[in-house]
Amino acid sequence: MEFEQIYKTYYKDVYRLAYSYVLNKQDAEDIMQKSFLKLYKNIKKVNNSSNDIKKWLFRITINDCKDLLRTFKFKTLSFVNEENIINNEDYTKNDLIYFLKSIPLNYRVPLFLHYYEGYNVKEIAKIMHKSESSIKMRLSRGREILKKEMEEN
Amino acid sequence: MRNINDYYKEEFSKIDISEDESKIISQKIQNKYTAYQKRKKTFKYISSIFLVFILSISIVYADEIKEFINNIKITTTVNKEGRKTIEAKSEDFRKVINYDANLPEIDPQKGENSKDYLISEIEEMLNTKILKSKILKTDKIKIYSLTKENGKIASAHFIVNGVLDDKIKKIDMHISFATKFYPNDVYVGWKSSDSLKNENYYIENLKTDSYILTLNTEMRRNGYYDILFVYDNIAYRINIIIVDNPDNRRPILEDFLNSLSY
Repeated sequence: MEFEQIYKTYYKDVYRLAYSYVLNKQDAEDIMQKSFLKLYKNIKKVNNSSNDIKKWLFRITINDCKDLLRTFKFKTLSFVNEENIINNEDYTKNDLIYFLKSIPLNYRVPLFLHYYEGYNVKEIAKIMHKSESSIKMRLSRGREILKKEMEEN
Repeated sequence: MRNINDYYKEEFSKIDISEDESKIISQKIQNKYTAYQKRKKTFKYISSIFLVFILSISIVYADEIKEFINNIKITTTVNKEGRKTIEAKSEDFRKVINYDANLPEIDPQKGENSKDYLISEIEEMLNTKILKSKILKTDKIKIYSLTKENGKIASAHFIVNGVLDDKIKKIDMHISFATKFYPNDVYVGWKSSDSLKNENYYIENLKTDSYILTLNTEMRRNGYYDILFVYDNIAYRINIIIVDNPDNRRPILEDFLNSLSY
């Protein structure tokens, strides 16, 4: 598959995954750019391997998100102005996305992969390099918190 | 009521990026990729130039330390780890002997061994002289390998196993040469293993340079010496293990080298 074709097919999914991780547009776009650039550099390898391209991209994106979260800039921004991260965007207080910020990071991505992408627990465990029991726990805790937040609002 | 899965799906779909924004990002990726390819090409180009440069220096260096002793070319090659290999190669010169001497062809690779000969006997048969030493305490010699071409001796390699004492644990003297019947262009009289250090030692008595090799520090600690030299168009190699007090080892070695004579 050519790069342009892969990009057109998956850019929205990659963007959504990055967004559900970092919860802001600018960083999600940067991560998307970084992940696709890695794909471009490794396109032959990825095409020749038996890996599912989408899952490969998701793994790379999650790693890039983790790298960003480890940076000083992100830690500082999250600590000082967490509210504004979401409030600056186009989402209203009625949107599920708005409530995502109340959910710890570890629960957000499994929720996205499961409910939006339709991956089962085993597949999510593989993408995130976690055990199946840990993914099950994260999905269940994530759902609970989200439900509680939405009821309170 | 909406299915919970549909609800989540619909809500997550609200995270969106416009087509224009995606095109801009795609363009940025293309630009970065082009720049990456250029850097990669430049790196490859610079690496190849560097490699050629290093190779040319190595060749010049190896070439510069070629020496000629008795027409036998000694080449020292230094590899990138700094280890040295010395070879005594005879290209132009061939030892003049009695090519028809009645000695058997011996191929050590076939497990063939020779009987013991007297050194004087071999000297007489070949009509040539071989270095001897009282320190070897033997007058016996064995053929390690001998090749013939059309019945004429083409190359020969002899060994004298010295008799050991409380100071010398092992002493072997290898003697090798090629004649004009040797079929290949180059005859390698000896080739050292990679050595850590090559030390030149001038054997006063023979008026000849020799190489004392340190293959590794452990061997040197154990009193092992590998000595190479060429004398009268014959390549000599001596393996000796001296077990005396470390301070006495070097004088014992030098005494031995200077005791060699016809």
